[in-house]
Amino acid sequence: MENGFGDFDPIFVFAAYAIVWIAFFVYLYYVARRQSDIRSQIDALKESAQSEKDNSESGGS
Amino acid sequence: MSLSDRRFSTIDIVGVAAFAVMLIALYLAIVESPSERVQGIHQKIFYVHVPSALVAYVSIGVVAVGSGMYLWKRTHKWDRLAIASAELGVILTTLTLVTGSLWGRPVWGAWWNWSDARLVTTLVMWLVYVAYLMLRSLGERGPATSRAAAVLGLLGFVNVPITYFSVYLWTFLHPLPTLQSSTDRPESAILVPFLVGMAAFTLLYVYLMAMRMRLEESQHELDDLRAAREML
Amino acid sequence: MQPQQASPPGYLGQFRILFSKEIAVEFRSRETAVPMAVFAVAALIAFQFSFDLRGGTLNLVAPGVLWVAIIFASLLALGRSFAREVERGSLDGLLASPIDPGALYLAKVAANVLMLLVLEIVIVPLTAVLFNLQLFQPALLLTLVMGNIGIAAVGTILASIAARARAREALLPIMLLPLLVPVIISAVRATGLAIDERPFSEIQPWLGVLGAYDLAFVTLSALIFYVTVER
Repeated sequence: MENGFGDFDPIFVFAAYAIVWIAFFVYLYYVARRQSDIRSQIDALKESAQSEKDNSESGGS
Repeated sequence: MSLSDRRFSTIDIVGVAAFAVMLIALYLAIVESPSERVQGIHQKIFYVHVPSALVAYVSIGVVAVGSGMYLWKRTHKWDRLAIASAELGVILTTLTLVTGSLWGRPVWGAWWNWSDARLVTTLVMWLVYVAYLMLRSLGERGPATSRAAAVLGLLGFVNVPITYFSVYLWTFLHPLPTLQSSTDRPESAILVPFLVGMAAFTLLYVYLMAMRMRLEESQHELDDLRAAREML
Repeated sequence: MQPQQASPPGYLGQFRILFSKEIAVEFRSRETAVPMAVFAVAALIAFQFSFDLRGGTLNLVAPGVLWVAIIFASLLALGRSFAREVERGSLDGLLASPIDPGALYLAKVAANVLMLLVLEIVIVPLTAVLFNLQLFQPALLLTLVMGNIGIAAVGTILASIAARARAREALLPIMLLPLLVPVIISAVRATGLAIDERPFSEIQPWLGVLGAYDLAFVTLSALIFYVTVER
């Protein structure tokens, strides 16, 4: 393990903290993106359902 | 809409708090905490390793609670709790294994050590909950898959202590080839960054759980809307 | 009116009927036990050339080889244990009758334990002959039976989960193998100690782990099995 830094090579500590932070941000990004994706799908479905309803109502009267 | 708007902001507050405490924990661990005599700077890995391990174990327990309650009450919210906690449990277990390896390499001289019961049990646990997520993703969304996953969630939870004991017995009957971590007395210089790290991971767990459960709820809503459209 | 006709058989009676049905079906079709045994023999031969099972390391490696062959072969039996019902849709009919799902589960477990015993009757003597091992120890018999119960207990309930999922062939081993780690550890250790002809008191802790595992998983699975076959 002798590589200039000896017992104080910070690369392992750096890697450990970096991986933890990256993992959390990647997961958060993934969840947030899917959330907004699903939200927009729900809104689109609701909108089309609403407009169909309006159309049939106006057509019927 | 106003209800979900209000909850949205509650989640946001938890999220901001989680990342603020994460930053404080990072500062305390990297700058303030002393370098340990035997392990040198590598001891600092413990401020992320131990909290992620402990919160991972908690999340596995939450999966079991959600699974058991789902089988009893059959309400969707318990299923959401189980699925969200299983996903976070896998992530936290992965982080536990990776940060543990990053500590083991410089201090033990090996990335991995088969004769440590905690390591092996954590790896087995990781595999069980990866299988759990695979079962979820391969099954159709619906009560049959939820029930199947709940069964696996309970079996996996019961398996953890038995696995730990059998690996412990296995190593107990073998020589320990490793240098055990010299547990120094928990001075406040070490204890404070550790506790702040615990708080940070717990807050982050709660925040991500809320986010993931809300996603599951929206997914459910979308499924219902689609099913309603099919009916027309 | 005869009271026999009025009351359906109790838990034990149901278990006995379902168990003999499993055995009768298997005896007629022989689509599980025979392929399992042939597979296990083929696996033993593959291990021979993978590990060069001769000389000094034999006693160390042989228990693991034996148990890996048993567990991999068990996947064949477990994968079949609900396939027939799912293919023919006969599970719903069975469950529409006043049968306790717990009795059904225990009957399937017992059938799988028996299937594994049949497999072991073939491959344990074969291992003993091919690798010149002292495998005929009473402690080994106990280890085999307890190991079988553990494999069958967890394997049967997971098979009923996997039977309805996509990619069930992959899903069953993915779920089963990590849960079987305590069985693998303790069965391999106990077998190794038995081969080395160590005193029973050294084997006992491992049989204790196996017993605790069997008890925990048979009980839990029998209680929650009904949710896996619900409609």
